[in-house]
Amino acid sequence: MQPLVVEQLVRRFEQGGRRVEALAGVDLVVEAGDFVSIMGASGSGKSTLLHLAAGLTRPDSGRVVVAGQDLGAMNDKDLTLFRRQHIGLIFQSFNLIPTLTAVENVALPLRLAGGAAGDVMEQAHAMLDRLGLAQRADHRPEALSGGEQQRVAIGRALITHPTLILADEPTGNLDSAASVSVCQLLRDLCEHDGATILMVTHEPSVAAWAKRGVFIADGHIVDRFDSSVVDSAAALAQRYQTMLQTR
Amino acid sequence: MAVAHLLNRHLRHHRTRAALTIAAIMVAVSLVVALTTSFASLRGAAYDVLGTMYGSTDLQISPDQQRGTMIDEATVAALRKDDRVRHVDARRVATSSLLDADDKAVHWRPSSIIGIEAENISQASVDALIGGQWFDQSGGEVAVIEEKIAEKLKIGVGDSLGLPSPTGTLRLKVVGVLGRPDMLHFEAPAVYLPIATLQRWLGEADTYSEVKLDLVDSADADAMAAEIQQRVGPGVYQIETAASRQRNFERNFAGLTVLSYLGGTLSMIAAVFIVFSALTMGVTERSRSLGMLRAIGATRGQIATLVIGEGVALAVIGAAMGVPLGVGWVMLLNWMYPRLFSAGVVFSFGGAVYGAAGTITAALAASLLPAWVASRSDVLDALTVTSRPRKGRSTMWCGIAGVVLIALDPLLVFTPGIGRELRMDAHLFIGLPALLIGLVGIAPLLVIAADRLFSSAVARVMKLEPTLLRQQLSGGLWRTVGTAAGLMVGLLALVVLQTHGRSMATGWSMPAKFPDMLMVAPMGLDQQQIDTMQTLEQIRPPGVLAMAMVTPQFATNIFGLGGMMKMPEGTMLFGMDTDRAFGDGSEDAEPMIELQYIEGDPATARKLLKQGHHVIVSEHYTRVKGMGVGDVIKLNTPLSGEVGYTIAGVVRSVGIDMVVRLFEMRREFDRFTAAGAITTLEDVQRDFGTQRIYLMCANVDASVNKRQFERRLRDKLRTWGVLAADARKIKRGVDTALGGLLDLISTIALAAIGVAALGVTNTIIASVRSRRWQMGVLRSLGLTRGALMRLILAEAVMIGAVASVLGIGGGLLLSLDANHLSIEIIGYVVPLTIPWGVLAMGVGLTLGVAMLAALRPAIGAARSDTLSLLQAGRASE
Repeated sequence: MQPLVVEQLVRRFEQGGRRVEALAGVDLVVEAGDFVSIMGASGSGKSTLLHLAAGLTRPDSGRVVVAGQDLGAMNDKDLTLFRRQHIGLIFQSFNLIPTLTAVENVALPLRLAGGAAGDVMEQAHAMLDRLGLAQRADHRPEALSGGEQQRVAIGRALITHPTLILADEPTGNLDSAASVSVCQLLRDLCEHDGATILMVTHEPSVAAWAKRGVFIADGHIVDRFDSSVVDSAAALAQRYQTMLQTR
Repeated sequence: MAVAHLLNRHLRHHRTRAALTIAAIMVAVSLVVALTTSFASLRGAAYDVLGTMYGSTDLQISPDQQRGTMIDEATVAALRKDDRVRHVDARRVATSSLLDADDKAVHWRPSSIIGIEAENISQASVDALIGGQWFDQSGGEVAVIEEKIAEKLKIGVGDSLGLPSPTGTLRLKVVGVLGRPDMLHFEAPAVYLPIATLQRWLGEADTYSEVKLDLVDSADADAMAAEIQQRVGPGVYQIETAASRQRNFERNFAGLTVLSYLGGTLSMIAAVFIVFSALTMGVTERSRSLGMLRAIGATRGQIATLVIGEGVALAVIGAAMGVPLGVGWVMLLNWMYPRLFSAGVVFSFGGAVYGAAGTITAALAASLLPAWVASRSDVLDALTVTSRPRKGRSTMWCGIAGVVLIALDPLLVFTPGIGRELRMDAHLFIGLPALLIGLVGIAPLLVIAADRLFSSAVARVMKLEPTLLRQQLSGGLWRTVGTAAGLMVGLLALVVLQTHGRSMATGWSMPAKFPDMLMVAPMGLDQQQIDTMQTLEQIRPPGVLAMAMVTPQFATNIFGLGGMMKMPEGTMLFGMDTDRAFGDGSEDAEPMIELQYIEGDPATARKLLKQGHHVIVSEHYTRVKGMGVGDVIKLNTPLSGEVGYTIAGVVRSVGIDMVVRLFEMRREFDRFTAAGAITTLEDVQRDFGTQRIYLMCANVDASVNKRQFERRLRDKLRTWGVLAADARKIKRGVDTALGGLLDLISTIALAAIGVAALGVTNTIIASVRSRRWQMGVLRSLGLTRGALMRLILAEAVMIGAVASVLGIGGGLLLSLDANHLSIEIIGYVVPLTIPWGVLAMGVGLTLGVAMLAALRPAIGAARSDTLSLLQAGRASE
């Protein structure tokens, strides 16, 4: 079963009194264990695609199927519970709960699902240990660096062993060293744990960590690439620039 | 589980806010508990006093107040022989002014003169002695006086005092001084003397005015009361059983009980708005966190539970602390005024339950909207890096709904054709809550208007750049609304109490022509003595006007406020020489009282009154009862049974009823009534058997100094115990006294403003917290610490301004409604008197409290260094 299937997805917005078509019939399939990056300029529709894939908003037409389930057929509550179980979200600005410690933030999805405190905390500690943050488990977000916060956020996304991980500009608020660390982590998750990841970014150096990618512009997928055939991040950047100039 | 954990962490993270909100709830609940427990304690003390006064009295017999026929010796003797009677305590009670040791009249309230039999002096009465002893005989010129009298007359055991009367002064030697429960502060002070001495002084041997019976266990009090009533005939005696006395007592207390609960409710409402405000702040600040929670799988129900749980948790903690604090307040009062709390502190369980459960329920209600908003928030909006301000429609719809709700109360009050009781209920249970909710509904629009209209002015006054204040309030719209609403409650209550209260209490005016002097004879005067009064010097023609007063259906009690709260049913009937009072129609006759006719005319009314069984009535009858000239009022009279009095004219309230009611005549006029009616002296004497005159009035020569005249009259008539006072001075005194009472009641409103101040602090702290980064930027751009502090204080001023507009507007509207209701219910037309000075003070107080509440966070922010302010932005949500 494919973790994500997107068919003829259309999404329109009202912006400044005019109608904008953020997505104009996008098709995309993400296979299990895949790591796909979506690249595009600001306003290209890449984040909208990610939000639709997460079921955070609904399309005007088209279908989003995650783990064989059509998100459009679910009501709000079913969608919430489905997201809790099958989708892990990683945000650009981390979005950790400032009142909770690192380990409590990681444990949160399991606790929301009614998990027993002892088991859940044990799992959360194990996750942090794996992420190299065991020493920071009892620190609050304000005491963590940006890279550490994002690793905690990744831990929170992974804790439920989701079918699909969606990452929205996960390195957008990080310096280059932290960015590399996070990208390496995502790649490792994909290669060693079989995690399926769909990542939005406008950084070719970040996109190069994915196994394959798509370029999106004006609501359309305009190009696709396979990292294994792209020589380097610089080559990918060149291809991206060319794509932007031709649009 | 996760929700509880999140809630726990959130409350700990926002400790100050949680503490301030809990403090507001705690104070509010403590006020409810303090008021109800104080009242319960005073009620307990009252029962103690009544126990002392009535002992084990099963039946009490007294003369009917209208007929005034005393209980004779034969009746008492028969009761003494009755097998069902264990004990008889027969007394004679009169009222008199007092003469001091030098035989000088004491200008003071009349005292109760109580004649008792020595063998009926109870142990409780002996215990109450603070000096000397009780007399042990039923005759002799001795007295036991209450300590208030001892203090006033500066006398003690061994000294003497005099009782003036038309038959001569009775001089009594003081043998004992009694302690007096503070509970009886408003009751006339008492002089106790042997009953035979009093009877002799009154010239009415072997007569009694009060017989208390202690029955054997097997006796049926009700059956015996009916039997006595049947024997002496209807309307001769009033017979009260212990059960009926208890019922009357409880009925009179019911009004006060409601008042004690209502007083605390004000603060509770203010506290609930603070809870609303605090929760709204929490939801707004946590929009990103809540959005993230939704994104990672929290259901709407879990989000809503989180917010509701916060509201309930704050309320539960506040209530748990408020109950003991409230009891603490009362214990403090008990320690300060032990004599008032003679029964100790009686905990009001009902008050505590009402305060605690009411606050928790109200907090639950207050958390519903924030919970709904939190659960419906758009996940994407919440997760957007820069949150998009929501504008518009909801504020507009809220405003429209608010206006509709506000309009409901005036509609219910002013729409013709609704019965007065239904109208009153609709006002209390629909109109009033709707008005409050409506004011909250229009608050968002007012906040936005305040931003646009006031911010520039406030900025100028506080020497700030106007652009810095723009959107200061609307940036945190709902938290501002909640805080302003909390402040509004107290101010609104203050406006209503002061505007409606002062209008009712002091707004009435005397007719342009009204007698200069009012004279009261506590012992009453007969016709011969009235004639003597006519010979007094310096009194202008047509001389002294004697007025006989009767109040069909009146009831007496020592806690008259309960009766005052009820709708008036009694009629105050004045019998007087109408020619002398209103002129006989001749050109040279000068009327003493000028009546303003609404229906009928003076000449016809005069003619009809002379025919007998006619009355001139106040406008109450047309407004409340829908009666007019020609209609017949049926009155129960003691001598003639039910008698119809035909209305000869309808006049505006003459004011005399109010003066009389408050001029130490409460014995006769416990019941508040504006249903005054005037008839002839002959009618009152014939139907009501009134023989003695207690009230007179007169005009004095223009050159006379009224104060000196008062003194001369007192000296001249001191043996009759006549008290005299300038009628206008009495009105001024009444106005001052009622104004003072209103000010006292208004402290409840001030307490509510105080509670709301905690909400202001909360809001300002939240505002500062959410703008620390912005403040850092401003400081880095050169904004001084002082200017930053003023910027924060300006926000508090604007919150206060919004609260003031809501409180004053809502209060005046409610006062207008209440004024109209009063007209309809008691028929007493009083122009709405707006005490602008008090309102200005209320606004000043609200603004001042708001600024004071903001001072601490303002100073804190101003003291912070710029770098920490800038860095704080990164950590804030």
